[in-house]
Amino acid sequence: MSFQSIITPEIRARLSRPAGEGGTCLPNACYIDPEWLELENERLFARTWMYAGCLDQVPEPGDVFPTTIAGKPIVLVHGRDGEVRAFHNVCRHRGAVLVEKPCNNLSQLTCPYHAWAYGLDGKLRTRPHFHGADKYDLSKEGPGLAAVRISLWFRSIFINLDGIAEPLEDYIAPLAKRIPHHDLGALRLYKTVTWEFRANWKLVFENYFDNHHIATIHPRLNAFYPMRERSAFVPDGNFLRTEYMVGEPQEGRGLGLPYHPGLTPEQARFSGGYHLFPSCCYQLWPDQLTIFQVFPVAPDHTVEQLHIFMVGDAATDPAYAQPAQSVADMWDELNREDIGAVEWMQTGRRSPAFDGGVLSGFWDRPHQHFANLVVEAMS
Amino acid sequence: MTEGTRELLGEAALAGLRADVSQGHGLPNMAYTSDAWLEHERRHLMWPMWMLAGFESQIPDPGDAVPVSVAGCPLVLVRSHGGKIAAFHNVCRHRGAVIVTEPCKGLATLTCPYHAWAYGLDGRLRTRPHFHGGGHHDFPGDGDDRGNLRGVRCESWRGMLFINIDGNAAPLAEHMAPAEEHLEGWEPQTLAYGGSLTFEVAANWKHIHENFIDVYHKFAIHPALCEFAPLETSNPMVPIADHLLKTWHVIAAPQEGRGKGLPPLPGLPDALHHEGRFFTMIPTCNINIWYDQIAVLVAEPTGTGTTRETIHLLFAPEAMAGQFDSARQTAIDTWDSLNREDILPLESMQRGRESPGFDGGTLSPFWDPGTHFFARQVAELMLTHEGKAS
Repeated sequence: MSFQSIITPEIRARLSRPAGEGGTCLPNACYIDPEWLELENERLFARTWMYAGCLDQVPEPGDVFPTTIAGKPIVLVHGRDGEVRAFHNVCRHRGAVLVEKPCNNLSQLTCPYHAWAYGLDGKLRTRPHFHGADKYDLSKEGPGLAAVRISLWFRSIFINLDGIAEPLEDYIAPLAKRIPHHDLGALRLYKTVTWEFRANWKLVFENYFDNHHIATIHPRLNAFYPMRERSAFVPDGNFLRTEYMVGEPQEGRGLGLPYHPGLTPEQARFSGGYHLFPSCCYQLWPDQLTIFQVFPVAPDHTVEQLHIFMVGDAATDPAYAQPAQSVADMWDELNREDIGAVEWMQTGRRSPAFDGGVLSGFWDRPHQHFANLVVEAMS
Repeated sequence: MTEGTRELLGEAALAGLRADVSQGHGLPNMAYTSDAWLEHERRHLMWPMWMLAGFESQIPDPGDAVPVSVAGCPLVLVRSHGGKIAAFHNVCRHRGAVIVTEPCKGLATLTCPYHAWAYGLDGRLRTRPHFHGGGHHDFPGDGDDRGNLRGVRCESWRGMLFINIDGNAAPLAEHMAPAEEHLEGWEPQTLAYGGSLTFEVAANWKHIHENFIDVYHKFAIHPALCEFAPLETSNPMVPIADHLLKTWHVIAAPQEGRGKGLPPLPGLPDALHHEGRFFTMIPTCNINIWYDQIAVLVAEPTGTGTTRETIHLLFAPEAMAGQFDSARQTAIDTWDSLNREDILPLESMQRGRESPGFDGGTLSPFWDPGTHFFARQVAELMLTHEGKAS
């Protein structure tokens, strides 16, 4: 189905009506139509900054990390010159994927199919047997790897596929302004946890910025920060946020790990959850940062990764192994609680009786804002 | 959805469906492999017609609810406190989560597990906890129906619950009248629900129906069934209405699981003690009647090449007594092994639909008029409903 046949004038009118006054979220087709996902890859994910990884995944020269962004194979490469670059992870010759898993200490990227070799700067080096058996091409004049625009914020790596998005600094500014006292450069990757959802990527995010479901789905989180004190995520341009001051630390939530450095006691109790549309979420707690990344596989299939960062040595020092593991366990439990809920919504998107929802004017404004961001970006 | 049934099908394929069976052929490969066609079937074949959703005896008591998927729609069948049965779209009006995820008993409300919106068993919205902020609950007043569950038209025929998603079909009794003529004296509403079997089959849903209609294959695929009722005393399926086919066979030798060990269905005419009777109801189910059991086969498409097939078994109420536990299990096991014999051929037909060398088939004028009729009616019914919708 085409964009116009899904986003009709009637749907646009419903999206612009306020939540709580007849306004709705996106129609079902946006969650089940394979052509819509292709359009999202093309118009949404390729035209903005996308979180692609972190320096801890390519810490040393020669380190290489493959990933998939906007459905496209991408590779992050830490060059011998210290520069971190991103390339389309595909050989210029026959289109085979170059790097299938993370590697360390490489001096070049060699295609496994016909052994074309590229330098870590992406330039073509050699093409064995290219002009016939034993007739190598060493001219270095052939095509190099296609580079992708890359930019860093602290140790987070973002890429922009179409190359013409606003500077990353501008894109990230609304988030940077909210957490001026936190030194995210002091954080190191502890662990990445992966889950699979039989659901659309948007439902995974919509569930993330839904503070309303904590009461029903997350008993421990509700006890940590109860419903009556909660507010909804606040829409702010390409950015949705929720912030609060945490109470007594719990196992997995603030107990036994060092806090972000250089904060006042008041600042150290600060917690923020942020969605950076349309790529990822940053969740800041006193002792940790977590980044949620989603990989849409199909309209009804999403891989979610949670990258857990801790302050300095806490990520790697065995002395912190137990409290660090508690953090990973806490997140694992929390996400498993959500899988059913997100999948129920996906099943519901097959129903002709669902029409974008009867929304709460208090809780569901971020969902409607997100729906409008999707439509605006794709128009 | 710009292309209609006719455009998707093509004139040559339509002519082959409308030709005499000796010259004609079945549906083209596209009808078994195209996502757009399946979506079209849901909207123009299944949503406008009566579709089997379940059985009254699955929800015998007030407060019972069973979730089902029919023509891609998540639905829930509910028996309210007054004893009345209703069907609803099983999807919360708020964020579209499925409300009832497994069969339940003794419910007072239908409560969405996601944000705990609670609906009465009549579908009316009752409460929305924390709706206006933490601790600020909402109790919608009477007359505000914007948040009520959406009802689905639901009618019962002899204890079988049918739903009509678009709400525009003729009354169910009218729809089933042609079958009534062939069921005089039969009282299936007194039957007990004896359980179900589910199979995930890697084949298009139409193959399941076509295989049921196809009496011809049993000599090659079903040796035990052929001893029970040989091909020589079986008959091809014949149309009795534009959406119904029937056939019958003589039972030669009753077997354990088929005719031995279970009490006969109550009120069954004597003639039926010696024969099996079968109906195919396009596009929803196949009904298999033997004198000690009724099996209802439902094929719910989960994709173009994947189908969830459910076989529901109904027995005489007295057959539910403990002394018949093992005989009932034998009947269920017999269906399980019979159906497993069919899965390879079904899946191989689906793979055959990937071949550009297959064109809808060369049909047997003796056995295949039923299969040909089914294929034609899938197209004709879609064309009719599409005409009404546009």
